[in-house]
Amino acid sequence: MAGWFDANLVSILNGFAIGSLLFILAVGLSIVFGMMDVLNLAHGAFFLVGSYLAVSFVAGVSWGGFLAALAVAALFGLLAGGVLSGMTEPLARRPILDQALLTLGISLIVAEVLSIIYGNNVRSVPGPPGLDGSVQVAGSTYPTYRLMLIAVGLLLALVVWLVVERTSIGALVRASVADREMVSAMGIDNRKVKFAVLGIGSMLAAVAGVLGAPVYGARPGLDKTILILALVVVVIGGLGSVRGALIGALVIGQVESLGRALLPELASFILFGTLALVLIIRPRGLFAGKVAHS
Amino acid sequence: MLEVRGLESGYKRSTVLQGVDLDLAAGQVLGLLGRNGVGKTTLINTLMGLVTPSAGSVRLEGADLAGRRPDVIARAGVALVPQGRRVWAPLTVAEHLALAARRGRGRGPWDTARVIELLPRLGERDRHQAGQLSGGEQQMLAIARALLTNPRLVLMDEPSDGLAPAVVDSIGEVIAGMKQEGVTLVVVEQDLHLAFAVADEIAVMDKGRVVHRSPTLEFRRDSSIAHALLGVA
Repeated sequence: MAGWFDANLVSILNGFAIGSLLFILAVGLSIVFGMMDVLNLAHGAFFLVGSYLAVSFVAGVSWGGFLAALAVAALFGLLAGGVLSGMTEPLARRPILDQALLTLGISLIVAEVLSIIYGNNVRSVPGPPGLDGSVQVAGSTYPTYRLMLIAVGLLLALVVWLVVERTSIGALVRASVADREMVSAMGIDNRKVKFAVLGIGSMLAAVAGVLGAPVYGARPGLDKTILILALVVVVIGGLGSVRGALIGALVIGQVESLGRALLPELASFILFGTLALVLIIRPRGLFAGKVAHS
Repeated sequence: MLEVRGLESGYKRSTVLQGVDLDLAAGQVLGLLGRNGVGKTTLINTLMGLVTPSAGSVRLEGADLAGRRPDVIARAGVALVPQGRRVWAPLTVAEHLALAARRGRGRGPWDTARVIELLPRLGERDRHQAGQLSGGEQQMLAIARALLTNPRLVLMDEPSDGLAPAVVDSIGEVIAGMKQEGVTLVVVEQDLHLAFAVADEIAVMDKGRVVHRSPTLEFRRDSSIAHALLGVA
């Protein structure tokens, strides 16, 4: 057992790094979808904007560039989420699919604009100074930056969890996920809650893009790959649940990393196999926050 | 205080309310009766703004609320205790009360201490998630949530639904307590015993209209109305 663990330590750590990143990405997607029935398919495109911002600010060359990329990505995400919130409002009484088509269209436009600006080559981004090397972890060599990514991801997970589960703002968000009509019947404008959650969720997506750039680089198509992973996390974790997004992200992180390392011939199957398995056992996800009412 | 005229409303393929007229004075408790499917819940949900009316007016102390968003109607002073209670299952009792109290603070006589005085059970359960409460406790939580917004008008949709008789009695006592505090109420009820116990007047709906209105005592005396409109003896 210990031997197996040592042999696969790098894959396990990689799984945690991917899981941390996926959580930051998926938590906003999950809450907005669970709360407002807005399926934001532009979420992956916002991530990719963050990754390209890391390229632009040459995030790997200096800490200044890295932090500037993070700040600009956060601001971009906040604004983009706010604008998206306004754009989905006229469709609020239409079926979910109409809104999904709108956000899909936006994601295509964003991806095309990025491709025009940055071209179609894969752009790699080194980690910021001091984190671009590697360290010894239990006898294995491991990139320092990914260790930091795990730490930052878990820290952000803790912050998001505390805000959603322990503050009055979080109570409002959870109430909106459970039954938003009753929230509006209390005199609270649902649109403001959606605006805030979509803004912060999109901000986290763009920030995740910067954080992920030293691991994934930036390239056309990354937005879709990431979006699909995030959607799988949301479905596995259950709509509107922070705990679900965290567990789902950690599971998918390991499935992606350890699964690919141990069963490379099943790599493309194993992700969706996990999804199917969860859906068979728990059709509403592991921790559905959304409760149906009559 | 409430003046409803020619209210028509319904869902995509069917008009349920076919021109409802209804008046209510401040401090009055109106029992709204009628068979299943005559439009009682649709009326309540339309008054709250959860269903959009296609015609007619709803005036609360002069302000026209027909077709406004639910949050606007709520801020104008209307609160809902909905059918099925619809408490937020993952939130604790304390979180429900805090969320509602923040909306209603400084707008009227109800604060958390006073609501818990009326509904002491909630004080004992304040750390429990709403989803773990009994049906009666959930109903009390739904009432507390509405009261804490300090409403001028409370709409209650079948508060006795699915509750044991002893619990229904205590809900009746709570409504009586609200009435003593001067809360204006519309109570939709299938349980005639409860409706008679709390209402000053009875209105009966049939086929999307209010077809009868009389003081509770009169309504109880003349059993032919109840028989004809409700199908009960």
